Amino acid sequence: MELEDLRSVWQQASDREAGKKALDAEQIKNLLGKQTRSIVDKIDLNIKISFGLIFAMIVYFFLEQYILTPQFSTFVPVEIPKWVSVSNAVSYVLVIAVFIYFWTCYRKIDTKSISTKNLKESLISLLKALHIFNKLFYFTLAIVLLLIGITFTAGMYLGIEYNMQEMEMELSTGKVLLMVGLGLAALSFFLWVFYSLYKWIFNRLYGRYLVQLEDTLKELNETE
Amino acid sequence: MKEDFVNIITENQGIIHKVCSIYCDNEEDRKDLFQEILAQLWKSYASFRSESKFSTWMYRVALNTAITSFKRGKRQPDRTNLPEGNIQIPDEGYDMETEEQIKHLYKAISKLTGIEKSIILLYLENHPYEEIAEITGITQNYVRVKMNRIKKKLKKLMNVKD
Repeated sequence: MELEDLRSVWQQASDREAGKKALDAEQIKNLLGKQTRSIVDKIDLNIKISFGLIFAMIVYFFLEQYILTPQFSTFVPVEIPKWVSVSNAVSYVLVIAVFIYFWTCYRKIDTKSISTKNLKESLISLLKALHIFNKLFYFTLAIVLLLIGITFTAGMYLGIEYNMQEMEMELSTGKVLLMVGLGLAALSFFLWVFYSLYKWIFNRLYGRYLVQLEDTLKELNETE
Repeated sequence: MKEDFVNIITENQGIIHKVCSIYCDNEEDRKDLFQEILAQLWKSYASFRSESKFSTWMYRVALNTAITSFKRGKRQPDRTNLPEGNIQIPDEGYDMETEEQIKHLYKAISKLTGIEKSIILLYLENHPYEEIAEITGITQNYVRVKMNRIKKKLKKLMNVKD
């Protein structure tokens, strides 16, 4: 028997099967009352948390640059080196640029309408959202670590410079370079640890799912 | 609006049940997917405009949800093997041969990919190629090409006896 001939039998069989499982209006209302979070909702929540973190960083940078640092410099009679101020300013600009860039990209996806788009567009949007979430985290992590690195190195530098002044000793270029080197080494170590940890967690959570979505999209694009 | 939605879903719930039974291999997953599809339909209901038929829109949301559904370590969005117990065909009015073929058809469908399942379900439910193309987002020509491949694949799978 050909597939065309099986159509009517299939329809009767599947209708009857669906009829057996039919719910009444009250049961449907009850199901609607239960909270169900789809994958799109989960990714949306994760991305919003990441945006919240970046926003918190912007606030922190602002407070640190314009309130905490000027107050700190009145207590410690050590002049804050120019490179610290420049690095802070660069990080500040970077974090705002990342925030604006990702926010614009994410808004373009329109996650609210993912399920009503056609399958192909829906898959593309979902993949874009997942990639944005992934990249956003890496950028946030890089900026946080950059900030930690700068703060750590600047703190070390100012602490040693202050003690040197107290003991009336000179801080040599070699020692400054050593401190910067230590700061960078610590930064690289943390970067590697957090990067590996996050990559592992992301792959555990979404790795297989991401591959499956990509395969499904590839199948849709096969001969187009 | 909720009342209207509940009424229209109650009338058309067969679509959700059919999608769930084709994508899930057990009762628990089927219930979860049913709820997920229902929630998505409700969230998207406000955006439904009568440009397309309600059933077409419902198929689109239901199939999107089923294919992109995510359950860590459990249901996969792509290949699902339906167990024997899931195959229930009408117990009357068909000869033995037809009954056997329907059983084989269900079993063969369970071995298809997520996209192939969507296309064959829409085809078996008498949706024209134009509508299948609208739901999947591929061209009508490609739907035809894909359909021919699925038919061949199903024929091959149905001829393989257990």
